[in-house]
Amino acid sequence: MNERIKAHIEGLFQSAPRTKKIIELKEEIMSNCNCKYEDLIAGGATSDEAFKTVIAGIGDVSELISQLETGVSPDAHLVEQGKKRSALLVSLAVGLFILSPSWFIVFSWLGLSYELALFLMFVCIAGGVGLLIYNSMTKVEYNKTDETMVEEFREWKVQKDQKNSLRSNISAILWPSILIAYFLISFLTQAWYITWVLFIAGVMIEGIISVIFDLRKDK
Amino acid sequence: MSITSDLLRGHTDTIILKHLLKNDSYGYEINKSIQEKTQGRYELKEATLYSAFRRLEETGLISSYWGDETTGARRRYYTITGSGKSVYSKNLTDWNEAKEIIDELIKEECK
Repeated sequence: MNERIKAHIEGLFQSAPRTKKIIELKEEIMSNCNCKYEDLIAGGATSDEAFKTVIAGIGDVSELISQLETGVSPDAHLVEQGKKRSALLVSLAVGLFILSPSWFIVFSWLGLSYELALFLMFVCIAGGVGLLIYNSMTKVEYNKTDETMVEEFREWKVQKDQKNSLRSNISAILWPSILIAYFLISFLTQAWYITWVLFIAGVMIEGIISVIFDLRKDK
Repeated sequence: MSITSDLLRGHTDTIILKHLLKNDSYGYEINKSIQEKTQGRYELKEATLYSAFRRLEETGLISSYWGDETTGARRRYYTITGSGKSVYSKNLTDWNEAKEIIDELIKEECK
């Protein structure tokens, strides 16, 4: 790939939105311009002459870009939908976690035994964890179809986003679990004066998870 | 030349369809063949060529796929569809008819 031609075409597309169609168009123009350039060189042109001829042959692409801008590629649409669904699932799960200990409050108002409250709390937590797992397993993935820089970059980006979402999922599970453990241990042992250290332990676990993720990122 | 290129531009779609009749092809190959056939007198701008490709693809006259070149940049190939072929032959008939009429109207009478 001739660097001057590549730079020139990149320049033409500088202000264009980075949709799938436009990236493909750019790639197509680059590959064809390169063919032409190599043909001209093979025909005895100097690299300067060939470059000028190729650039002159491109014409005005701005109209072409605006023509493509209006059409949203189905891929981007799918990813957008996936994001919305994922946000809904995570919010539901976190909501369940936060509300799970509230059964104790409700049951103490009603004067009923805590055993059923404990059971309901675990049902809520199990539901929440189930939602989080379902969410990360059904995430819209970008499947690489071609071995190019563009595709690799997109795949890398999606993977990176997924890693980040795994990180935040762990946090979302960690804190409610600590809250539950706090109530459970406190109710069972009645050692309310000391059980609060669980929250400090939580901060430490969170810190350790961060370090692990950072180390893996560096690799 | 400006009138000629205006006239030719009106037939960009038909020219592209014609080039795809025999075999699938990509942008540069089509443009190169246009240049060779006209001995360098006519060449499409890349922008014109690609907007024609998009237009033809949207209307279902051609379809495209990426080639799997092992070396260098990959190419996007275009192939003509059934409706593309029928539009081509209709355009060809139209053009022949228009050419006859224009010939009749503007050529000098033979004496």
